[in-house]
Amino acid sequence: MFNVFFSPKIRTLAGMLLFSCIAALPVAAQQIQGQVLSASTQLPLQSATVRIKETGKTTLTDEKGYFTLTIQAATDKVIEVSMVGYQVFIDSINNKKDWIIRLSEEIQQMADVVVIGYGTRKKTDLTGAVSSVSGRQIAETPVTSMEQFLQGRAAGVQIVNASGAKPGGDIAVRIRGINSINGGSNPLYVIDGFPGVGDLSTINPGDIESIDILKDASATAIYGSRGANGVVIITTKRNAAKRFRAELNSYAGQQTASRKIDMLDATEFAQFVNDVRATDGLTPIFDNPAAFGKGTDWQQEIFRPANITNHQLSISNSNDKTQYNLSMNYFNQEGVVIGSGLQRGNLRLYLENKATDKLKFGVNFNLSETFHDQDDPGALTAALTISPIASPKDKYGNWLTNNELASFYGASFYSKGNPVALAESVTNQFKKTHAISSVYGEYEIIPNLKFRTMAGADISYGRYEYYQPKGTPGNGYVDNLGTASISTSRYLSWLNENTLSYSLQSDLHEGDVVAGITFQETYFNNVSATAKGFVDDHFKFNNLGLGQIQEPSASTSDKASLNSYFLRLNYQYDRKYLFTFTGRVDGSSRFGADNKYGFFPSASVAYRLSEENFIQNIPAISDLKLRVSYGITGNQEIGSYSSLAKLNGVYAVLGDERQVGIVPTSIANRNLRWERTGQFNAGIDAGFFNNRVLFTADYYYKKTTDLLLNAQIPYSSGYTSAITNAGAISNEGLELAVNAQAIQGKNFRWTTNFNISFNRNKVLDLGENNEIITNGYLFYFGSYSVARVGHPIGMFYSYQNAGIWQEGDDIKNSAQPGARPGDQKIVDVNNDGMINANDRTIIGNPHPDFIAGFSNDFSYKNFDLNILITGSYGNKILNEAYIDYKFPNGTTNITRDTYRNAWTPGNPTNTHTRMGADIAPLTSSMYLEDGSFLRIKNVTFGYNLPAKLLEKTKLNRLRVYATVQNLWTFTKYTGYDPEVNLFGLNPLLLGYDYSFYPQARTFLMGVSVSF
Amino acid sequence: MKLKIWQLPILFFVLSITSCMKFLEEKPDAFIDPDQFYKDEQQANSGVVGIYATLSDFNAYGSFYNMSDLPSDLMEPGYQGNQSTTSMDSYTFDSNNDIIAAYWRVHYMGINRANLAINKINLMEGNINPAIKNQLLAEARFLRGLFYFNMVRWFGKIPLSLNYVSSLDEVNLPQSDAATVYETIIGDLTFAGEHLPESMPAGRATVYAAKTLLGKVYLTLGRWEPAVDQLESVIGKHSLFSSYGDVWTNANKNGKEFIFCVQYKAGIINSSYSVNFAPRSSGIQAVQSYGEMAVETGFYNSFAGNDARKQLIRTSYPKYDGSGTANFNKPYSFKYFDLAEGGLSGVNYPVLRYADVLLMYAEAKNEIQYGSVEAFDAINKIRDRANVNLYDVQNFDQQSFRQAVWQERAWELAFEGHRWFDLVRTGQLVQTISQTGKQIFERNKVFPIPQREMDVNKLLKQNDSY
Repeated sequence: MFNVFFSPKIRTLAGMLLFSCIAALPVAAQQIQGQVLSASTQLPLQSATVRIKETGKTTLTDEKGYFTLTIQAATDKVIEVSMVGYQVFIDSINNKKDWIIRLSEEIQQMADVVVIGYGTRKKTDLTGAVSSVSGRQIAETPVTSMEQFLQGRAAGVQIVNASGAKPGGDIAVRIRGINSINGGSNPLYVIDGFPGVGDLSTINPGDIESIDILKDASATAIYGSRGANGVVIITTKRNAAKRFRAELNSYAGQQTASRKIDMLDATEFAQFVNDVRATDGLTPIFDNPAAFGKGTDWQQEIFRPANITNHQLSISNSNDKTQYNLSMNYFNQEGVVIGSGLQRGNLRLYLENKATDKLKFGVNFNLSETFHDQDDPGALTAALTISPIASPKDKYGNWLTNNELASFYGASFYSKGNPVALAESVTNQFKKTHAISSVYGEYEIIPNLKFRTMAGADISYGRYEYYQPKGTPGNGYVDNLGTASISTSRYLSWLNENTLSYSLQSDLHEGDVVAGITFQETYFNNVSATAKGFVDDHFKFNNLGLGQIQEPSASTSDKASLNSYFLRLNYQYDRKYLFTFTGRVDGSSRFGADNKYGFFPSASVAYRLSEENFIQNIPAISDLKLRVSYGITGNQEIGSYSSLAKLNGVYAVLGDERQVGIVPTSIANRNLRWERTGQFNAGIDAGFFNNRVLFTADYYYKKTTDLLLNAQIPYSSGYTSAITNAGAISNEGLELAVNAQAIQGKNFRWTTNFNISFNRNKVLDLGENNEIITNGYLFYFGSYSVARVGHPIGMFYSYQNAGIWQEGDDIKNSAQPGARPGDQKIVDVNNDGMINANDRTIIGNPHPDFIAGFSNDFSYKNFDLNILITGSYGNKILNEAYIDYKFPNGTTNITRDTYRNAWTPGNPTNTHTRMGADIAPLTSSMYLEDGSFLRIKNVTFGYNLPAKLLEKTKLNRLRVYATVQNLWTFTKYTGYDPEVNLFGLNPLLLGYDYSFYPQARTFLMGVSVSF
Repeated sequence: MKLKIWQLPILFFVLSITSCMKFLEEKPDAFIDPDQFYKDEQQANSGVVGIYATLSDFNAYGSFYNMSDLPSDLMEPGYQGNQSTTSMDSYTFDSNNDIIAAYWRVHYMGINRANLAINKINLMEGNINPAIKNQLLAEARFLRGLFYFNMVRWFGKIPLSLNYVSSLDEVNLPQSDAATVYETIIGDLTFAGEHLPESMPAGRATVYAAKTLLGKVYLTLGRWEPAVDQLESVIGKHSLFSSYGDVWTNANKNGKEFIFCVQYKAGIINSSYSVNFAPRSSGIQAVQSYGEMAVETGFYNSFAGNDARKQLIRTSYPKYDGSGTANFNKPYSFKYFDLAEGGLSGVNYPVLRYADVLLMYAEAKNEIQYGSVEAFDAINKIRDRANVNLYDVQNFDQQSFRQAVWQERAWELAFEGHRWFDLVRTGQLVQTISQTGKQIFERNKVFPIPQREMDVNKLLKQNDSY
């Protein structure tokens, strides 16, 4: 066999020898040779078909992608190279002998198979709205979580940061807005066919092959009870290559806080405190502010450059009978705030074996161990409020106590704790062992009739450990005695699913049906114990019995079960008209005795216009499909036992000892039933220019009724609230996605993905009340949000600011006769001549007008570049910093802006209040900020070593890359991060910020090698 | 018949459908169904303990000063950060004030607990000793009476719930007028006075607690003779400590002068009185003091110089770590002071104290007829202990003695949750508060019904002018 890498000289010589032999023959036969590579990965392609068009002469490439073919120059003019999944390569031979042929991947989206509930489906045959993100799309960029995998890459999907950007923090996915007030808005997660996986933070994103997001009712109704918030189907990696593969992927890098708040230094702080006193006519407390110099930069003290590393090894193989994929992963991410971080180890096995032609078995097993070092939630707040004159430790190396810290400003200073002591000396960690495993068997009873049964369990054991050493200046009023806590929990969810499926196909008709029955049961048990007052810090949480004070231990027990029956029918006629019907009957233990079961049907129809002649006559249009669907899905995400009246324990001190009392804690609601969401969806899928440009648009209208509402009931009943079915909420939206292979040159390629989503949320009904007002207060200062009929949920509800009272204004006769110049001017909304809670009004919207993602992949020869940009526009954020580090009353440090631009008679501003010890924080529209942002989320630059260099090695591929995450954010927002949600997943309190954990800017270098 | 393999799945489907309703039944393990409870004496007792547990809640008696001494001429906030508190002091609160709403909520929570116990224990036959049954019922009714007594004084017309609420249809109740509420209170306390024992474990109601409280109810209603009847039956059954300082020591916790106290125990249920009454971050406690409550200067200056009760109000105190003396910018009360190391504090809160009985008795006797020796004896016991001059019947008339008793109550019982009620009861509220420079209206004789409650229960009517 000829080798293309022989030197030209030898090749010429060989050619001459050959020629001299062949020249004697009557017909001019010649040999052509070459190598076939993937255009995107530069990897050799095995088993590609090389064919001469005229004569049909054919050969296959070998394992290194090489081929040789003898041709007749006279007749054989055109070479064709083809391979499944790649675009056909066609060229004239023109006496060219040595070929390097790069096959471009087929524009996959249209040919792709999409994973849907209880089956798969060709994208072209879909009648519902499904977004897919394939591992291929993001394989070249490192991600630290499943959610990061999705961010910016799928229309209609919003990533909600529920606990800051801390490693292992809660991140939630919102699909098409917020449907529910108390039933939760998290989608249903299905991992390798296992629905209802609770915790995704333990999933290794490197194992994910693809994520399919089911959005409309046609797609989700098969999951009936749990489909209303959308379904996220995660499929882990397989091996279809029919050869052994081993891959090693490692990266390492460093993260830094992407932003610091510009606070006063010690000199400025001392001056500020003096200024505050001066406004009350008091003498300065600090004689010489300049003597303090810069003081302590507390943010610097608790931030650090944090390391991140990831190593993944996977091996896989497949043949006609058996397929497996085994992977191991170790991930370690330090947080940018000291004392926070996440370590995770994963082991995953996928194995499938065809025992006979009719019978196959398989197993999915995922085991993970996570170690989550949590930062002390008070450390950041403390760092932003503490006096910069103070230092973390005294000259003997002891932590400064709260009383000592408070002494750096007069008696009214209230220390929120020593930030560095909190971050460094407090142990606050969570360990979790999590296994998701399932086995399945599938048997073909008669041709096309298959029975499949699956049994699995999602099991986790978690252990939370906490120790605050003796004397740690805590963030309450407590200097600690040594407090140790342990909490352990066991979670078990077992599942059994049984389905029968049948498919039929003829020239014009094609159909399939799947029917199933499932059982799932979930148990949760927890026990926790706390002890205080230890002789020595040595024991930490490891010997609780040694604590002088034993707090009562606590335990809980919870159980829930689901039982379902479902059916789906697909039918298509002539590949033009496609119909899908689904129905699911779901029974949930969580509902009232009279309403356990709910029925969730859906229907959809699609029309493939591109099969019609009049469209096929338009060459630019390569694919065109219209889709319409309607269906009903449900939500059951309330706590167990919500329909029951319950008695629970409390305790009292009587006779100088602890005594237990049993008291009513909840009221019965036998009628409690399913929350139901009816969703209409209309969509269009179009492909242009041989599907080089793909376009998808969807319009949807969702109306959720019978809301699972934690309805407020009169306190005079003895209760606060009860879960009831009341109210309705709607979401209406538009999603557009464009995928274009803009440039497909031989050397230079550019693929771009753009998606944009608009969602409009509206509260339609709230039962007996017109609105639900929720207090997002911290420390009593009322800042409210309202869910009001006719408006989006969670609108900011507070005073409307009308500027600042200036000297000379007629304050006495205003609605705020007690105000002083420099105080906020508040709009007297009800014109009753006074400002009180009745003047609160809707002051802003926490929902974005739209969110968008824009991803670009460039490649030039062996270089590749990916740039991902995400953005949000039009949402407001209430930064509660105005209650402390933007509150100039002299009891906390403040930002430079708050100090320098404060109202004074000489600076009659309308945007900042005056300073003064007597000012009171007042929530108003003045503190509402624009949360719009455009973020360069990810930039990855990679280089694949040329195949030529790898030739002598066993390596198939070697890629090196460098990544920057959160390179830059364009925003007017002044807090740490505009992607903020202080109250996490509570839909009634959206868009709040209060010294949230900052985003990290990450620099990574990585290498991936495959054999 | 031989089963064919393809029939197996069908058989499986059929079998699995049959047992499903049981599969979805809920049987909670960590809670209990009310219908499964109150089966024996111990269970009945735990229901009553649960009512007591309400008392130490921060919004029952845990911060009672917010609804009694703060909106009076005795106390002011120790710092200006907390809007809810400052507005209670300055009378700028409105129906959205969260403290008022919290007191409303927690009191009704206690009432519902009491209603469940009363309803259920009443039905118990055979599985409980009749004497115990009556004692437990009496305790539950004492506590329900106490809750309603606070509520009717704070809010006037209130929903009167006397049955455990078990279903959503029963949650909306209209207001009853104050007289009806008082009838219930008197009925509950009379029953309690008939069935409670003389001695109980610390913190549980005794017959004297019931009679003292009922005396207070009659006093509030201006029914002097019944008030005297109730109070007289307590006189001599408790007694004063010999010095005023002794009342507030840890050693005398639950001692002879205390009739009914909310119980705290360090590390089990911590009292927040000591940290809230100590000046903020002053370094005088082994904890960062919170400094919610300071003493109004006018009140501080009203004491005679040698009054023992003034000694418990201070403007400086040694620092905990021995680094000198902390000087305060306002006077602070030290009735509840302890070092509260690590936030642990077991300081009790006195609801009913014998000094209160003596002063109520003096007041009621004076209202019946001026010149009662018993009235002067009663007040002079208090004054004698405080090292201030004794009062002589020659120097007063009915009106001036009435005023003197009221003033004595302020000095003796300051910060113990009496002042706002006394000011309203004696018709002095508007005048007294106005004298401190605050703007106050006639409407302030009751608090506004919480707006949240108004929003949820459409049957309610707001108090006048709120």
